[in-house]
Amino acid sequence: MTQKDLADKVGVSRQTIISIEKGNYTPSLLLAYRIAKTFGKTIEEVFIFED
Amino acid sequence: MEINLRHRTFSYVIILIVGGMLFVLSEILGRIDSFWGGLGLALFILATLRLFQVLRLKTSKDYAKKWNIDVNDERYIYISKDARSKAFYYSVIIEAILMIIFTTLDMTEYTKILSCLFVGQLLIYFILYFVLRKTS
Repeated sequence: MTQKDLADKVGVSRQTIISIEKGNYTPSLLLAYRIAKTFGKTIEEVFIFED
Repeated sequence: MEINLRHRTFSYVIILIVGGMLFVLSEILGRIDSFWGGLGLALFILATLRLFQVLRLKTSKDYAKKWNIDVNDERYIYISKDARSKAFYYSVIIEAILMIIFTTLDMTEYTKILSCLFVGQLLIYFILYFVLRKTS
């Protein structure tokens, strides 16, 4: 799946996906849930919480 | 968030009519001050451009999808809020610096105007802060 495909599926721009991947932007719980759901995984499996 | 195109079209048509009327009354009939003519022309142009955008939203699905993402993307919304917040922060600092400069130069009228603006902005900020703290 490309960044564009993921962006289209979760309803955000490709730039937002790039920023999340780079760690420049922390997504909201709703967006994190949508991304995790797209991959069929839980939020904890997709995102790593950094204290 | 869905786009209410009918509501938008209605609003822009109203703005277009008001702008056109102001322009005609001022620049063509000469009934009102030229300031209103300028304002009317600006409203007319703005409404025309927005109506073209609404037309494009209705006819092009790709454009509508892109527009919808641009408006509702949470990162863009966050950036927009951050930009507004920083704009307020820097404008308050600039006003404070200008007040000191104008006071030093004995330009009291400018200082008074800036003081009112400065206090007004801070007042709105504090009111909104406490209201949002209660309601959000």
